[in-house]
Amino acid sequence: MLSYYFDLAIRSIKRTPFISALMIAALAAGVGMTVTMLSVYMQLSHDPAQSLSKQPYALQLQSHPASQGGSYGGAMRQLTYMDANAIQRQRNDGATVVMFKSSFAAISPNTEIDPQFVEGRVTTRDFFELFEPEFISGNVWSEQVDLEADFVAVITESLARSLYPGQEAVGQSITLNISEYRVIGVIKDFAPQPKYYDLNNSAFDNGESVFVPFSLTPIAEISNSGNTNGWRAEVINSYEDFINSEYHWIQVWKAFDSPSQRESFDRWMRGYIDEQREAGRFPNPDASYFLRTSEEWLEINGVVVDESRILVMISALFLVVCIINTIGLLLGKFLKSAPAIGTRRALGASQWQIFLQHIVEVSIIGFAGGLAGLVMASLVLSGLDRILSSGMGVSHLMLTQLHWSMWLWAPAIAIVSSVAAGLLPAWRICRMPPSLYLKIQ
Amino acid sequence: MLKMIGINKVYKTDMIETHALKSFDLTVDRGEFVTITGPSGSGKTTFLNIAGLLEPFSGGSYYLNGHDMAGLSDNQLAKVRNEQIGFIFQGFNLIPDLSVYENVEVPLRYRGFKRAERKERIEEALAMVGLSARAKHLPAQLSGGQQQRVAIARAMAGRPAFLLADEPTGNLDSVMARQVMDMLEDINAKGTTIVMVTHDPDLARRSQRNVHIVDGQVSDYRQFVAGESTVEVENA
Amino acid sequence: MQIIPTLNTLRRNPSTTILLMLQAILTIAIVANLSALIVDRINDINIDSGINEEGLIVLDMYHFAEDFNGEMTLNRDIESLTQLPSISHVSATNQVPFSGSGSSGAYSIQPTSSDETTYVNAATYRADHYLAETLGLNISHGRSFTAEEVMTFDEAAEQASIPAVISGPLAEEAFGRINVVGEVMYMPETGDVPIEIIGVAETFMSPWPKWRGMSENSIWFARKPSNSNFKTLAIRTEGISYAEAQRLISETIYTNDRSRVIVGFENYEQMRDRQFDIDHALLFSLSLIIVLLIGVISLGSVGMAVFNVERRTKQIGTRRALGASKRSIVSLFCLESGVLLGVSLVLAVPVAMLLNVQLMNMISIDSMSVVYPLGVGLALIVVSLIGILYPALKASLVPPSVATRTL
Repeated sequence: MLSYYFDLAIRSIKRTPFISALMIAALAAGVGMTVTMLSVYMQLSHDPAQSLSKQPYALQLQSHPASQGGSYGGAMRQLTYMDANAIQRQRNDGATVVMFKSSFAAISPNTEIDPQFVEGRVTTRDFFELFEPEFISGNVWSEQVDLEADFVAVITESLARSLYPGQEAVGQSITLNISEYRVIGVIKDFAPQPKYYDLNNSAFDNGESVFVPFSLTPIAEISNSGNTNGWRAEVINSYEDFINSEYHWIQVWKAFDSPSQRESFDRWMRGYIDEQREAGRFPNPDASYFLRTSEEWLEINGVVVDESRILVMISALFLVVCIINTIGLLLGKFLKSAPAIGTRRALGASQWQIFLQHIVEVSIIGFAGGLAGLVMASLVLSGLDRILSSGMGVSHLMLTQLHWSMWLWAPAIAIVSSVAAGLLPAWRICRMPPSLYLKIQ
Repeated sequence: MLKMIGINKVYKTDMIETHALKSFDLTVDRGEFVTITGPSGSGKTTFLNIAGLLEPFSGGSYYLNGHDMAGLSDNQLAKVRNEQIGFIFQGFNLIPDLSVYENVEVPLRYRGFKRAERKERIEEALAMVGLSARAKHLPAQLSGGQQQRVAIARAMAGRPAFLLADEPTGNLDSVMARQVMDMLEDINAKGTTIVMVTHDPDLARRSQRNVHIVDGQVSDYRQFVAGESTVEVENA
Repeated sequence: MQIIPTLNTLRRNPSTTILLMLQAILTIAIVANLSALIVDRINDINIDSGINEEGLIVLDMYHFAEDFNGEMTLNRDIESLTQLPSISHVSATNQVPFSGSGSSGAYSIQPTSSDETTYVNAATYRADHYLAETLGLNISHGRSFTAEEVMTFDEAAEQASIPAVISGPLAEEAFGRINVVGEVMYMPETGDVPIEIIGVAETFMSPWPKWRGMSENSIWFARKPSNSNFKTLAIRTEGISYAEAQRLISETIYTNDRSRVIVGFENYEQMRDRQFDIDHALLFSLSLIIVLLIGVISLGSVGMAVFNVERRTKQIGTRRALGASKRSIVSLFCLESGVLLGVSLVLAVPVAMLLNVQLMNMISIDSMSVVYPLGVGLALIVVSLIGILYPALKASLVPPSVATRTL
């Protein structure tokens, strides 16, 4: 029977090509915009850490006076070097990532290759364990290096290719500014989007291409190229002044293998906070710390911009108008065919069969609208990509790629919309008393 | 075959109530050819709609083929229409974008017949009305008489026991009207019960029995005996 | 005259009437709010930076030499760049308006810091005395810096007072008026050493156009370049193409000192646009939605009107047979949609305001003026009446004989 309805629907659609095209276009526009905005929203609220084997926690330490700072869930986004270093030295309880962003001129031993400006990350070994970049060759530095600094570096595939064309990078030397490092590992280009592990400068960028041990910080006097925030004025005359200051510029992440590990870390943190408060360093009597899941962290940092929420709402409203518009057109079209339907009823079609016949027709229109909507969504997204990626200076912006879930959402939205649009007209036409239209045609 | 006892039908609008049928009684036996006549607004059409199960009735009982038609669901009514009743309308009511073949196919589709069985029945029905050659034509390409013959083929393809016709010749010239009437008489002769609404006394005279309706009630019966003049029967 | 039959027609087709009204109400509410949002964002994008943006180039570079001397290198850069005929001014600064990154600090009009001290936040420019000329900054009160006033932080902290130029909004926020030349302010970094205001630039934006309470507040200290790796030069060019400027400037920079990398080379307009990328994306999306919305509902309304006419062909024929003129048929249809849209407009205003309240909860935007829904509604009525003309004219051509035909 369904194939009969399908056949009738195709005839009916062909009979009114203009109105059918109009309905398909209206649904496509509504579905297309909704899918576009939903996709951007999904990309923004995407949590890349969900796929990691361990749940990482961003650590916040509320050491500053309660009246100053703390716009990120009651605390600052970053920690001081002193506190971060203390947490990194206490390394018994689970993985500890302590890090900041820096910039370097990367110089190849091959003098024919120009120095290039690269973003770097100064971090601990656990960065690789926790955030799981993929190694192509070599490996990360040993735990020993996190305690006693060594000039070693892990670099990305792209940087390796441009510094050592055609050569194996592991074992080569790389000069970062004025210090020479040994390349011990090469990873695939690593740029999770959003960049949940450091949301200071932009949630979407190309990531870093060189990784060096955090323990080198005071030795190589590596400068911070991320954000530096303070809650009091300090006079900084030297690098030593800087790392001993109350400026907040280090990101800290933790992960635990067991609840007991977490409890043990909690005990240690409480002890540390008490100790620092008693020593007069933490002016806040209620100084405390927070462990945020990656999901909470993205939320606290407002990665999903208000504009995105607004656009989802508005595009949904737009879809509603498109649906109402389609209801009107379907109603007009179906009512026009009332005499033929009256005849069908007389010849033995039940209300349900008439209803189904029309629902099949609107589903076909909805399906076509959904497909056209997906095409439209990808066009609008590429328009948004041109606007946004040039602004952010990002080569491939995940944000403006169709989120994978849209392949499920788009047809679902389209079919639900069209059935919603067709429900009233189909119901009206099937409830029509057949005798009304039989006498006079 | 058809038995109506005390059927009432009231149409209500905001302002007025119209009693289209009042305690309407009628019995049609199997194999009969009954015509219904009456002035405009007498309730002919209402009777037809109720007899054809296209409209609900407000009171009384209606037995078709011995089964009570009161309280049947829409689905059951549709099934009865589909399997037991054939319809022929004054305006032919062919579906304009379906071909002759496809028009005849409509009730068979709803009956759930397989393609082969549909084909057999359609070909048989079209042969009966002499339009086998026009199977692929659209209704608009046919004359009025041809269209009505398609409608008869469509009504008969399901081999109903009972045929309801509403002024089947109303839109036809006299030559074509005669053809259609001949065809209906033929069908009746082969055993199908026919109830036909008409305003034409000549046509009424060709049936076996005429029921005259005035103001929603049967006003008189006339029993026609082939070749003889009218025998008046006192109304019930 | 025709108003009663019109109302009856609308009442007799409740679903069509309700659909048309719902569609009109939502359209007015959505388009009005989107228009208000668009106007708001266009104003944001076009905000005055207070400088002459044309021909300004912003150069960021990164030094990596061990023996790097910021002051010496930059002085040499400025000297050799200004010798180029197409470059009039060059300034070494830590930031420029709308650069998106830079530094800021807290300033007060009281000398000592206590819990009661109230601070005003302002973007802190540390630049040489060429900044005003290079940016084309208009110092509306007082003066800019002299070469002698340019010093390091340590040198400045030892002076009796530290000269500064501030922006008008900062003066307004701190002192309640614009002309504050000669007044003093304080910053926690230098304790009791007063900051003497020597000039006020009426408009002098911070690097952050979207930072509420900070975007318009700037303070400029005359500072020598530090030894930080990152350096920014603002370069005023005249009568030279971007590509040519890029070639000339990079050549000069690399000739002076090869131990650095040019990290950013941008037209000011380009850099400025970057701060508004989300606004541009929003404008693009909103405009697209408006265009599609108008397209969908106008085509859809015509489609519905055509059905409406077809469905009522017989009725129209009867009217014509009874003596209605073609004109009266056209006006019947226009009156019908006029009444419908008029009622919709009245209902659309509160719905639009409600949607506006919802938007205000989600995003920082001023409340919408009622002019928007009214304007959009009136425009919709005019456009719809024009749109209804085609089917109405078609209806008026229905011959009276239709009424007498049964088929």
